[in-house]
Amino acid sequence: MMSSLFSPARSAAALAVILACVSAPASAQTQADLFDDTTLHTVEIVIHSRDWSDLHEHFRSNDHYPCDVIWNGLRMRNVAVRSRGNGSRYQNKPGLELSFDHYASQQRFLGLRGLVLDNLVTDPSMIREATAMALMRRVGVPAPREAPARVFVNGAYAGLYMMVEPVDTVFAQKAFEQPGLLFEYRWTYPFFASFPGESLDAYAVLFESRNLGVHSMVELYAPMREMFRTINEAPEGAFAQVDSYLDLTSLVRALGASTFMAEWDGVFGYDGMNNFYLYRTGEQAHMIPWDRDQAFHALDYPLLAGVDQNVLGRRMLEDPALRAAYVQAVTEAMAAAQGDGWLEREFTRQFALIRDAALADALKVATNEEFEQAFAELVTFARKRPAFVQNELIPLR
Amino acid sequence: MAAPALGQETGATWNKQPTILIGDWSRIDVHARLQSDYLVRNEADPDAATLGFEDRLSLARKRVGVEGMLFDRVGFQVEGEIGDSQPWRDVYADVKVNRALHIQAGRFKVPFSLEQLTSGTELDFIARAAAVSDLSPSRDIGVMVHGRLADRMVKYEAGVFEVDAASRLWTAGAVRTLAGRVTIAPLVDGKSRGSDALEISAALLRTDLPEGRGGLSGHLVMGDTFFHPMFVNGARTRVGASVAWNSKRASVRGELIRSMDTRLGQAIDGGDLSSLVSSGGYVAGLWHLAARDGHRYGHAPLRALDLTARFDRLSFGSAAGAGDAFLNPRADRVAPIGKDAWTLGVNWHPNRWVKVQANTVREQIVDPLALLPIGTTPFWSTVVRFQVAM
Repeated sequence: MMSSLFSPARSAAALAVILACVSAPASAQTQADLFDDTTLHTVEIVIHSRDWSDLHEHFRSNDHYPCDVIWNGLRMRNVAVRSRGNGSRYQNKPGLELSFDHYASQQRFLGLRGLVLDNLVTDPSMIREATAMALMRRVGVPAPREAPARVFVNGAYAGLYMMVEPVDTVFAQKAFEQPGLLFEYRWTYPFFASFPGESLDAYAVLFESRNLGVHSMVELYAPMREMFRTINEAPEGAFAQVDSYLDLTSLVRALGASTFMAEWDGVFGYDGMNNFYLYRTGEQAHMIPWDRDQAFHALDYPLLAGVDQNVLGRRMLEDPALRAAYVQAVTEAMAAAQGDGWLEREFTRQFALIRDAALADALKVATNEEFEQAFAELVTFARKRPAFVQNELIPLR
Repeated sequence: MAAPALGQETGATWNKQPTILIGDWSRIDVHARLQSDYLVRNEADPDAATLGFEDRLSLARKRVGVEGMLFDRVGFQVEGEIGDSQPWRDVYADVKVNRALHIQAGRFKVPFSLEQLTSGTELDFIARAAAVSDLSPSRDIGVMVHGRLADRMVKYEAGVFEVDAASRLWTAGAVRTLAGRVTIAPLVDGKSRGSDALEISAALLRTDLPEGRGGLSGHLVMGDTFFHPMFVNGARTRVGASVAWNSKRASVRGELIRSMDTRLGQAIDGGDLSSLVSSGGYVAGLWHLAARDGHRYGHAPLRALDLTARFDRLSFGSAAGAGDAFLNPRADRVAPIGKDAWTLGVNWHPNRWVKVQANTVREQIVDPLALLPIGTTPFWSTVVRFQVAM
C-alpha cells in the first residue's frame, strides 16, 4: 500500500492532532529538559484501574493500554502504554513503554514518538544503564539520553524508573542525519553472526523492522542478507568490504567503549549478540547500542570475551587495521572515563540524585543494602578498571 | 426448504444432490460445498507480488451436511466445516405449527442482515460487504419463532440467542441477544403475495455487552484490521434495513446497518464514555448477461454469466463526546475512521454444480484526521473463486 503520510492535507490534520493532545503549551519545554539528568523528574500516569491491573497480570504481553501522561505541568493525552523488556519483564514493577504515536501515527510529545520507562530491576545500583549511555555519548557514539524519574500511577508511587530516549526513526534520523530503515535485534537464540541463510524470513526473526509505513521483505532484508554474507565470506585480507554494508568505523568505536565498560550482554555477548539496533541508510547499516544495564559487569572482565565466538568479532580483529582501530577505541573510552575522574564522579552524582527515591521504592527487586553495596562496587570499578584494561591492551597492540 | 412432493415413494434420487425419500412425508438431502480462492493481486501486502502459486491458493470452505423435512412437520439442518477446530455451522430443528408459526431451535444465523442470511454458496460476491461481515452477527445458539402473515406478504422472525454459547450455554453470566426481523413482500406471486421480486426488511438486535475490549472492529477485504475494538460495557443495539429487487434480467440490493455500543465506566478515570457508533451499508447490482436456464440474452458468449457491482461503506465514530477526537480504545470522542470499497465482478455458472467468481476490489481508507499509518491512497485486490456445490 502506498503511503501518503506527507501530503499537505494530512500534515495539517496531523498538526491539529499534535496540538490537541498536549494540554499546556509545550513550547517552553524541550527534549533537553525532559532528559536533563541533573534533575530527578516526576512522571504521572493516569490509566483505567482495570488496565493497570491487566498490564500487571499480562506483563509478558505487549498489549497497549490508553493513558494520559503528565510531566512538568504538561499533560499528554491519547498515549499508549505497554509492558516492556526481555529479562527485565517483571510483574510487580513492570517496565513501561509509552507510545505517543500508537493511536495517532503523527502524534509527538516534544518531538518524540515514545518514551521508555526502564524499571531498573536488573541492576541493583539502578544507575548502570544511564552511566553507560552517558559514556557512549561522551566518546561520540549515538546513544539514548536518560534521566531518572519517580513514577506515579493514578496518584500512587510506582517506583523509581529511568526515562530512556527510545531508539526509533526519530532518534536514528537525528543521529545519522538522513532517512533510513531501523531494525531492533531480537534475541531468539544464541546467534554469533554466522550466515543465517538465503531465506529472508531468517533475518526477519532476528531483526524486527521498526519502521513506519509498509515495506516489502526484499526491501527490508535483502541488504541484511548481503551484509551477513559478506561478514562470513569476504576473502581473507579483504574484510573491509563489510564496510559497504556495516559502518565499521562507528561499530569499532561503540565496541571499544563496550569493552572498557565490561559489557557482557551486547554485540559480543556471553549468549550471542544482543542489545543493539541497526539503522540502514542506503546500503550501509549503523549500530546503535541499547540496554546497557549489564555494563560494568566486573572490573576484571576480559577485553576479548565473546569476540572469538562471534564471526564478526573474530574476523574484525584478524584485520590489522581494524584491530588497531579497536585498540584505539578502547583506549579512548578509557581516557574518557578516567579524565578528571569522570566515571567515579558520574556514579556518585547519579547515586546521590536517586538515592532517596530508590530507598522509597518498595517495588524494586534489590534490598536497600544491595542498592548501597552495588554503588560501592561501581566506585571500585571506576577506580580499578583502567589499570586492568591497560594490562590487557598490551598484547593486542 | 421445499415440502416433499405428493405421491413420492421411498428410495433415493440424485438431482442436484443426493436425496433420500421416505414416502411422501420425509426427505433428506445431502449437501457438500468446496470453495477455493486464488489471490491474483493484493496491493495492501507489499510481498504479494512474490507469492508462489501455493501461497496464493486457499480453501475458503469445505462443508458437508444434511437437511430435510421429517413427517412434513419438522425441518432440520446439520452442517459442518471439515478440518475446523469448531466444525459445526447450522445445526437446528424447525417445527412447523402452521404457516404463521414455526419454532426453530439450535445453532443458526441470527435474523438480522439480508446478506448475512444469504448462504455463502449463493452470494453474488466472493466476500460479504464490510458492514455486513463486521457489524452483523453470524450464527449463535438460540430459539426463534418465525412465519408468514397477511397472505404471505409479511414474514417475521423473533428470537433469543446466546453469544459464544459454546463456552457458556444458558449460564448465569450468559450474554444474550434479542433479535427481531420483519420483511414485507408486497408484490403478488401467483395466487398470493410474498413474491421475492421486492422485499423490504427491518431488523433490531439488542445484545448484552460485558465489560472489556469487545467493541466492533473494521477489516479490509483481505482481513487486515484498520479499526481495532474499543472498550465497551453495557448493551449493543443494532438496527438494520434492507431492500431487494429481483427480476429475470437483473437484481438490486441495498442494506444499511447501524450499531451503538454503550461504554459505561470506560474512561481512563473510570467515568462513562459516549456510545460507540459503527455504521455502514452497501448497494449492489447484478445483471444476468445470460440466463441460467440456457437462454442467451444479447450476444453473451457463455451460458449463465452474471456481471456484478457493489459499493460499500463502513465507518466508526461516537455518538457525541467531549474534547478532541482520538482513536485510543478509551477515547470519549472517537475519531472518524472508515473504509469505502468498490467491487466489480463476474459470476459464471458452467453447470448446476460449478460456479466461478472473479472479483476486483478497490478499497480506500477514510481518515480525515490522518491518524492511521497506512494512509488513504486507494489499493486494489483481485480474487478468483472456484466453487463446487451440490
